[in-house]
Amino acid sequence: MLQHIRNPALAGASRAIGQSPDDIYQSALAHSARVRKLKIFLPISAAIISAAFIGVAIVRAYLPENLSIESARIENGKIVMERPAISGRNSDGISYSMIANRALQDIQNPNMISLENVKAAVPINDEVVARVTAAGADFDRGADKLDLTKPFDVNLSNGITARFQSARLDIPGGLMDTPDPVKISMDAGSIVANSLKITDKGHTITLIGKVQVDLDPARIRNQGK
Amino acid sequence: QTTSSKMEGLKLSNDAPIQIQSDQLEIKDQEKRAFFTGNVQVVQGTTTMKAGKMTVLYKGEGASVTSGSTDIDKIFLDDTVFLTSGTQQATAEKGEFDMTSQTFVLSGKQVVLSEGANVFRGCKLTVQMATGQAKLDSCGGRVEIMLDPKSRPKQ
Repeated sequence: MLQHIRNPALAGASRAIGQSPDDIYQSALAHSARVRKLKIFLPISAAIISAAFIGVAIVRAYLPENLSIESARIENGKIVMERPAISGRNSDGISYSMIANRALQDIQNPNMISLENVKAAVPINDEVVARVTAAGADFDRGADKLDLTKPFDVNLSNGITARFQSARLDIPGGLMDTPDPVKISMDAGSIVANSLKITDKGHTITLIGKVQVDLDPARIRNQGK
Repeated sequence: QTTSSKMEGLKLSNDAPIQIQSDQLEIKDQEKRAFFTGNVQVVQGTTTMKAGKMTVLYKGEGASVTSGSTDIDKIFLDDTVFLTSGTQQATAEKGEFDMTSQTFVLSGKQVVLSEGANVFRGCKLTVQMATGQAKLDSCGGRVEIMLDPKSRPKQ
């Protein structure tokens, strides 16, 4: 019985504005076509915009307070951040800073950020600051692990420099290890080895494989004067 | 009973560069110790020293390998120590360098000091690093000396 009730008000309204029934039909068709198109484009753009927002929000949420990015854009499934600069304080209250030319964050897996041309400064104790320059690094924010895949240098402000071929850093655990040769040089000598492991927040350094230490006592003694 | 001779090479106070090699080196910054383990070899000028393990104690406030200014306090050598210095050789079970008193002591059940063909046996060899003066003690037993007549100094 319900099906037969015609809606007299709707029928009456269209006649009132003087359109012929087929005009009305045409405009309805066009309207629904528009709706159909929007129905597709709107979600896509919404997804992309929200992805960018989510990405940046996640990055900001995970990364310490001040993260400045020159610009961010999305390129083939990755958020590309130009010249990201990150600084903050780690758990021991020591402030650190890191800048990179570019950071690429995977949209599907926002935890994975790959950095290009990284420069970082981390104070080791109140007198010594370590400066790291690396061509490339992959940062896994989920596990707070930094994987330095290309050779890099660590320069300590007291004149000690260390050249690594690669390294894996477990930041919260304060661990670092590299299966590749490493050379540590100071003005009084140098230490080379086939591999190196740093544990308990930098207080234990283990060099393994063909360790060779060259010391120049004259320089050590002059330092003493 | 002691016998003494001079170990020129052991005057470590000279400034010739030192080279240390080993299979592994572990630096424990908080304990201020560095452990060289596995085929440890230390070379300085004409003196070469080999041991299974070498432990270096360094001192100085905040002085750690990372801060570069390390002062060595003591060095312990373990797992058979072998020392050659110029024409002299010494073997023992253990060795200890004490930088403050500038003395180096080799000890063990059998400490053998040989100079050319002359061989001295005892249980403790003490060397004053400043002068190279070496003193071999027999700790109660007899110091065995085998002198090679040919090595008698010509009058």
